[in-house]
Amino acid sequence: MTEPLTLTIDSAATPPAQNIARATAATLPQSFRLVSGGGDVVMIDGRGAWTERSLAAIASGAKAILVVDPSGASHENLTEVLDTEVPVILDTPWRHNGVVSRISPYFQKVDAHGGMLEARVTVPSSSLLRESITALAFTAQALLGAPIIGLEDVAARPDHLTVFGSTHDILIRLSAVTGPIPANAWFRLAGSNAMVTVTVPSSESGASGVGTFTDADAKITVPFAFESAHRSALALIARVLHQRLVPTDIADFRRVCPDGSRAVSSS
Amino acid sequence: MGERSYGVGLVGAVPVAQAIHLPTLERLGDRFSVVHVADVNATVAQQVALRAGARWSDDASSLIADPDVEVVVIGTPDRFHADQVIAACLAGKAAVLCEKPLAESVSEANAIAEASARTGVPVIVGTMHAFDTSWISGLREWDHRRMTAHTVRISAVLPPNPWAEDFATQITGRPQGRSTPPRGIDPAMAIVRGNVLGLAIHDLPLARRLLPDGPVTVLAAHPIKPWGVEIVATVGDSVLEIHGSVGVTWEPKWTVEAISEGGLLRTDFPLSYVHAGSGTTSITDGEQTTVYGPHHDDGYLNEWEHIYDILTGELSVGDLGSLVADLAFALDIADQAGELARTKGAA
Repeated sequence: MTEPLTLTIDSAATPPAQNIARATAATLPQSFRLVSGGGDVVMIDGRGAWTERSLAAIASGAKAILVVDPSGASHENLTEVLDTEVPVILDTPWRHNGVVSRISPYFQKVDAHGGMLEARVTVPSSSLLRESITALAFTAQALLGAPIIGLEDVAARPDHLTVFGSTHDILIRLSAVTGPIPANAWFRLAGSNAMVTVTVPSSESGASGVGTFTDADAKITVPFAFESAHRSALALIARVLHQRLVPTDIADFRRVCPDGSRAVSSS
Repeated sequence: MGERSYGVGLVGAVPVAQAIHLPTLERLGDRFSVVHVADVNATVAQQVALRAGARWSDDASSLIADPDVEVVVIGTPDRFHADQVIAACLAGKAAVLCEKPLAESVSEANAIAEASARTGVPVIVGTMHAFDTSWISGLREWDHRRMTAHTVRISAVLPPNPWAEDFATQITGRPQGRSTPPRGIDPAMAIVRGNVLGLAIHDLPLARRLLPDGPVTVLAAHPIKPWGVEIVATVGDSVLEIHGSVGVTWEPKWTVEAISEGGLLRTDFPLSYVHAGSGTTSITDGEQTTVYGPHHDDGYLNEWEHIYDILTGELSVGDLGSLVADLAFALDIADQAGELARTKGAA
């Protein structure tokens, strides 16, 4: 049996982020052991200056970083983190939910040239609109296996944010609105041969995501898995270190995250 | 049982008449009977009339002049709607059901409204979703809760019409689809306008009902393949999203959603043409979800029962102001979105 990795919660983490880390680590007791400092993995609170905290942890010897709920960051800082070549997993609301990796091959089967990917979420607060759009785009890239470029605000209101972008041949429409329901993300891609949809629960929920692929022959539902995105992200860290995987989270995030070092239009 | 049966004349023996109105009127056979079918294609008119046990002609004026025709259904291309609806009004018919859109311009719609008011002939637009029982119940509750939508989404992801028509009937003389726009019409503009006035038109009156009054500004309009559109607009302080997409093998999804700070309304409608009962409407707030429907009766059936209630005096008919406003709303979006698609395509 592999020895558990040690996990340290960054001292700057807010109590809610610490609670997330502890609760999640408690579900992977054979993979992680919490230690007060010098852990193999350092959990950073994404609500603060997380790129700076990540660089500090890496400088102190962390083998991998988990950033919970990363907010915006400057591209310069993201590049600095990327250049360290230390694995960093971004625990954004939906990307690492297991349903995303299970359904993404089906997204990539759709002949969607000239078509459109829709992504939507309803969030509880206006303050979450911008980062939810970034998280939707971050997840959409994983679903499509392709970079998203040219993100532009189309409608920005206190309770609504719609952003358009594209891959090399698909229009991307991302929409976040405020409302009183759980922040489940929903994606749909319709092409000339098939349609695929996925609903990804909010990151703290262990409810199963639901992904379906429909073509002329059948409607396929990918296997259910009742694992929260937080747990999937932490479990991924273990696989990254044990299997020497190279996550692309920072590079992918930089592509869709507004550059925090520049003025960004705000909702 | 109905107390009396009304004679119906179908102007345009197109798939809508064959797949929607004929089966619906058969279900209401104690209240309506098709007595006359007219189509410019005499063969199609004859064949469809034969099915219905009706007489036939190859022009609308003969049908409108037929004294046995009490209710006229206009299912011709949009450019003929205004003249034919007005002619039916002036002929003193009992009612006119016009397929959507009511007309090609607001001035035409105003002329229809004026003719209807002058003659007292009620005019109904065949917006079947507006007659859906679950939608009506959900909307009543939405209004009761005084919800104000900051976002309204209408989305139709559907197979091509023939796919659905074939579930509803066996079509005679199916017209060939136009694969390219008429000469001189920008292709992107044609797709966007065609989607708004051919597909979104089903739900724009519902969207208008959920949105505040206010100026319409289309912010983005993209044609999407194989045949669809994505439009984002503001209406007053709210946002309207329009998504339409027609493909070969997809699972149909036809929805209207409204989102407010206090709750969400969502209606899932069944596929068009088929008689699959009503939609299902849900209202979700922070505490619970209330679901309306599904009901056995579909919007097509309710549409004709609505007409019957008008004919028998059970329902009074107001002026056509709301129908004219619905058309003006749709045309405004179609014009702005079409122009945006054209200029973006040209850039």
